Amino acid sequence: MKQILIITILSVAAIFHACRPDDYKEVGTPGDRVALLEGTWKVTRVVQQDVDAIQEGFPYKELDVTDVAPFTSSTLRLTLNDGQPATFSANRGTAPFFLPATSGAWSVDNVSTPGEITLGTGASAVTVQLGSYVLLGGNKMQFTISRKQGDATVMAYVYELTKQ
Amino acid sequence: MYKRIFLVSAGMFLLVMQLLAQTVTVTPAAFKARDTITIEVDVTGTDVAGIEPLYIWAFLDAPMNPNPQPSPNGVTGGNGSWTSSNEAMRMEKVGPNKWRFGMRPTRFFAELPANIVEIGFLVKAKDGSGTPEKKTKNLSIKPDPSVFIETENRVFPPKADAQDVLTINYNQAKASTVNAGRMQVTDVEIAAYTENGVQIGETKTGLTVRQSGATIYSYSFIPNLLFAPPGTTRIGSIRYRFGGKLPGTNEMVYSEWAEYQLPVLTY
Repeated sequence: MKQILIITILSVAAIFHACRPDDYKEVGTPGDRVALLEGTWKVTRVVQQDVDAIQEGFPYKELDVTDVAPFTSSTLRLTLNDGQPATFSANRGTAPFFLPATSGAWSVDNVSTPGEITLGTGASAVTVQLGSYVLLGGNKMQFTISRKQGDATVMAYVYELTKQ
Repeated sequence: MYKRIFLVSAGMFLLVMQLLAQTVTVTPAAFKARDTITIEVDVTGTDVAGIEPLYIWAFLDAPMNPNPQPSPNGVTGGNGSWTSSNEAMRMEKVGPNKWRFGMRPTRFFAELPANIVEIGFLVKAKDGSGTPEKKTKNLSIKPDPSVFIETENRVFPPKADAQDVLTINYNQAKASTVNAGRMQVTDVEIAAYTENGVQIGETKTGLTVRQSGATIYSYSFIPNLLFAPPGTTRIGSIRYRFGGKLPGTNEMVYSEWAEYQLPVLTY
């Protein structure tokens, strides 16, 4: 009986002795998402969204309009200067429309976690909402540009682009 | 005898006053959560009658919020505190004991329309404390529910400029005529008009549609490209109708003309 007790105590001690906290691994340096934006991007897909339908939970929320016009001929070039957003040039190619601003300076709302890209300055500037960072890692970019009636956003185009 | 008549009359007067009190009027009377509305309250006969200024204290009622909480999250500072209302909630006096407040519920509450089933509120003094508290009873208004109704003709998106992609859709299951319900839909005719109703160019005919659903036929285009309006002429509206042959015949039949007004959109 006494042997069983000793064996049990030793077993429990051995089990607990084996339990050691794991060392935390290094998180690593944060990804430089602005650097990922640099380059020449070509439009590959355009989806039109009905903002009201999305908010109301109605059917017919979006429609792929890539083939309606030569939207895939548009390109966007973003440059950096010392790691910071510098200049952009938007070429709509033979598409009927692309970005309302064609060239100038560009900026982001947050260098670490950019959510919005502003292309141009002053009255001609346009702000687009950047999509998933996961896409950027795969040399793809998605942004949404809104269309407004008065001050209310009623419709949007979601552009998908591939780095050239 | 006179005393009894006086008491009965006084009681009836108070009852009438109570019934008249706290009248709520919303403009427009029928509204959706996304609409801009004006709420007008007559506080006659309440514990805030004669007090100036007055403030709205708003919250979302069940089922969105089973425990009503002050929640105008779209306004910095929200309702404020019970003893010191947020100045952004100050109502405008429009007459003796009549106060009004304007809002767009989706923005005011920072909520999606589907979450705004009933808007609860009361009217109070800046400091609502005291015995009795300086407030009206809880009041409420209800926006019209958002309901999607499938129709014979539908434009996607419902709001698009003449330079945007526009898709016109025909749901044959909702056809309003017998022939339109029977035709084998193949094409669409579109005409464009200025804001003054003057036709721009000729009606485009024989535009091939695609089947986008079991009973739905669609055609996508950019009005400015299809009609190329001259100079600064703006396309204000389009009219369209879908067509096709009746089975076993060469007879072309059409749906009824539908009209769509194009708004001006900006970036």
